[in-house]
Amino acid sequence: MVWLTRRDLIRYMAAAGIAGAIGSLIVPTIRYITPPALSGSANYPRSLLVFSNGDPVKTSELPVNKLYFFYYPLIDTQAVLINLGDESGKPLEVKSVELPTVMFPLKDFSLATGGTPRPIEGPPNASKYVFPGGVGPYRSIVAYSFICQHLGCIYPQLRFHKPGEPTSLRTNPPEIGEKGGVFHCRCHGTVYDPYRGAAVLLDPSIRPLPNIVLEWDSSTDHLYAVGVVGPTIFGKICNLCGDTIKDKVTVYTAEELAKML
Amino acid sequence: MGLGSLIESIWNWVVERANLREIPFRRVPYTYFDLDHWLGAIVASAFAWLAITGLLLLIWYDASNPYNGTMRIINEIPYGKLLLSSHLYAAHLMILSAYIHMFRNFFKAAYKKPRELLWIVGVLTGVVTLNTAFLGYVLIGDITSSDAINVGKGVVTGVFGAELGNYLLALLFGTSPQETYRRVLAFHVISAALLALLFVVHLALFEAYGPPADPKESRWKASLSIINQLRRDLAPWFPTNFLYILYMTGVTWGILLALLSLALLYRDIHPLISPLPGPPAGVETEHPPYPPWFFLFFYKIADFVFLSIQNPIVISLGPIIMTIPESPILVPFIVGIALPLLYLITVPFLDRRDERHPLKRPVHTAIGALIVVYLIQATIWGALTPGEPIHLDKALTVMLPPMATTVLGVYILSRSHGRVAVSRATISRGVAALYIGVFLLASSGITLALRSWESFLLIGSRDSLLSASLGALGGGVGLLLISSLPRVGASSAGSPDPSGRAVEETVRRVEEAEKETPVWMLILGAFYLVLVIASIPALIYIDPISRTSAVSAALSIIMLSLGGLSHMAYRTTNVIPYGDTYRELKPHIAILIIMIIAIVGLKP
Repeated sequence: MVWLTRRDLIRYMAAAGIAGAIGSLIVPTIRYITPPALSGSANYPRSLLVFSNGDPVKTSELPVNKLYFFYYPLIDTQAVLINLGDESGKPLEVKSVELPTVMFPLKDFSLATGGTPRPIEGPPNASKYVFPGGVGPYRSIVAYSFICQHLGCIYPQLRFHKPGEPTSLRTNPPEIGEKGGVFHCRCHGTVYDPYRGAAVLLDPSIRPLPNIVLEWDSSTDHLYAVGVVGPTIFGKICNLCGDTIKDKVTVYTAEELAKML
Repeated sequence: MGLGSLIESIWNWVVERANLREIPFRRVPYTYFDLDHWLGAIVASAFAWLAITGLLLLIWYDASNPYNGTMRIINEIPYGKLLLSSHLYAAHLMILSAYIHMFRNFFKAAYKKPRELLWIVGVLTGVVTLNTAFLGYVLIGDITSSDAINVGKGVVTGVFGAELGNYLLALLFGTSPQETYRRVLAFHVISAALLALLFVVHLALFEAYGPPADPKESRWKASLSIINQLRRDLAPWFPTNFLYILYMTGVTWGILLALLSLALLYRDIHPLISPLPGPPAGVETEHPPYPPWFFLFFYKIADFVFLSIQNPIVISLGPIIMTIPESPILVPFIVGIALPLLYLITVPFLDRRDERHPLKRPVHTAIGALIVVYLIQATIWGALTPGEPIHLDKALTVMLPPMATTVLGVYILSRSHGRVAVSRATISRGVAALYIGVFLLASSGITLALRSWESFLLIGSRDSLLSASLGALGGGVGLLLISSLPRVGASSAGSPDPSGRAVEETVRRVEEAEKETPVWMLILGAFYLVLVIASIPALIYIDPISRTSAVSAALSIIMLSLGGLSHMAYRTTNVIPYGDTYRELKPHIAILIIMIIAIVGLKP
């Protein structure tokens, strides 16, 4: 009794050869269809923020608690610029804080509305980064990537709920939404605290919003976007994978943004 | 239960559930597995390669910036150069093999009842293939592409008149430059989709009656050309036909990639066969104004100045008055494209007799041979003298010798058949003598009669020599064609005996296939397998942008090994004795030779 006939051996070899030949095409095909931008640029652009009329943004011209939109570091990654303050309109200093890229929801009030800071914790293996805090004369100006880290909702689903503003904002638990001073996403209810590096106050998101690092030139009062810290921007393989912004970036008000789209 | 029996039981499950053993395709006798019966598989494999690479190229093609976008695919995208250049070469191969496939079936009269529709759809598929090819090379945006758009405009307005022509052009090319390439891209893909549809219809019509039976079984009669599906010596479609298709596909792709690999090595390759685009449009260049080779024949016919209509021609037939507008291209189009095409489409109805033997239908054999000669001559002529106007005397010098040779040759051969036993040597001698006489008469006589001695000796000597050589070449091709026609005689006498002893012997050989698997086959199979496994890392680690020719070579070796292994697997299901080891080894020798060519392309 022969355990393997010549005929079967030939057939097995042919099957292996055919499978190998087809399999050999997989890697080249994947390399071919992969967009080259995925390798990413080396450095973040240093971009001067300008208004839509072309004038450079001056911190003295930024009203408190008003959202401005811009695209950074890529031409399709929306971010917000905001001069944070309390409900009376007085700018609030935003302090530097260390955050994990993956974190447990804090479930307390926003710092703007008198929350007692609770320890920020994440899983033990989560990498950490330093949120540099606000810039400008009052250290009150911050910028965040404004794409929800849960499932990618953007303005107007993800919006800023000012401190003390009467609202029908429903969160679970309800008291966190009541006093405001939060970024709230209407898609699935994630709440972030803009005064603490956009740390997660309420799930379902498990990641804070990435922070756009700003630089303030105190002599000219101009603002520059110079980098991104925090988790990777939602929907991107890397923060620089795509067409990057050049050395100037325009900020738009909500009305201008609506007209543009 | 071991791994082997597990694999076997899974395999048997798939075979049983997919009912692979009873796939309802036409079955053919075990003796039909040869190149002559499988020319269509070459066309189909080339088309498959075109479809795969074309769909992948769509990912990167940029209609808003065609030339730079194409150069980006070549210079920046990994494997982009390989895909783009092999797409072009596969198109060349598909067109060439489609012509061969068509003329084989023309001379063997496969178009006869009941396969008329199969033939007509096949010819139309060929037309759509050329249309897709035209739209494809326009997409590149190089100088050939922009010339093609302009010439295309001239041909369309020249053939359809200004009003309808310009309307058609607006449909095809849009009304603004930005629109042009987007539309051409869309029509290229639409045309390719139509080609795929026609191809499926062509296959379905093939399945209706299967291939024509071999002459020795059908005695060259169309009415006996259907293979009885109850014969005992028919191979199962799966796995025999399937494996043979894989073999044809692997070898076709292997040849394609091996030739591409060589072509990519040579920088100064002739523009007609260059795998890469020419210079961009609008830049001054020495690049000759060529179309791709498969349109050269029409390019030359369009140079026939005596065919251009200088003044409108008015035809009055009683109350009907027709005006043919002045056009340099209308008559060349009718003579060079429309009439041959019309003939090829209608030949099943012009030639309705039961006879399939080429010498028993001499008129059509002669016409077919003349079309072949015309295509070859005009193509070479177009390549040698792009854009030079041709006058009547030169055209006759080129066209008459092959016409005389072929017509008289076929006439004599068909007259002599059946009366005398004609040997091939007799035919060749007779035709050679005839050819020399006709050639001398036609080339010198006509040239000298229409031109003065002075012009022949002083001005036109090089041209006249060229014309005479082309005439001789055409005569040679015609001679070669008719002398390779099958003899009338032995093959028409045999009668098929599907239940006879030969069939029983065939069936026995197939059933005892195991004993027929020689040891060399195992060794060669292991060699192929090693080549596949060794080429995979080569394919992955060689830089695909700077060393495309090496990547093409590695892929060629993989595909050729696939072909070789498939042929072996096919032989385990079909063991009609070839007679000797050499004939058994022939496909593998061919594969190994092409592999050696590919290895040249591997050099750094």
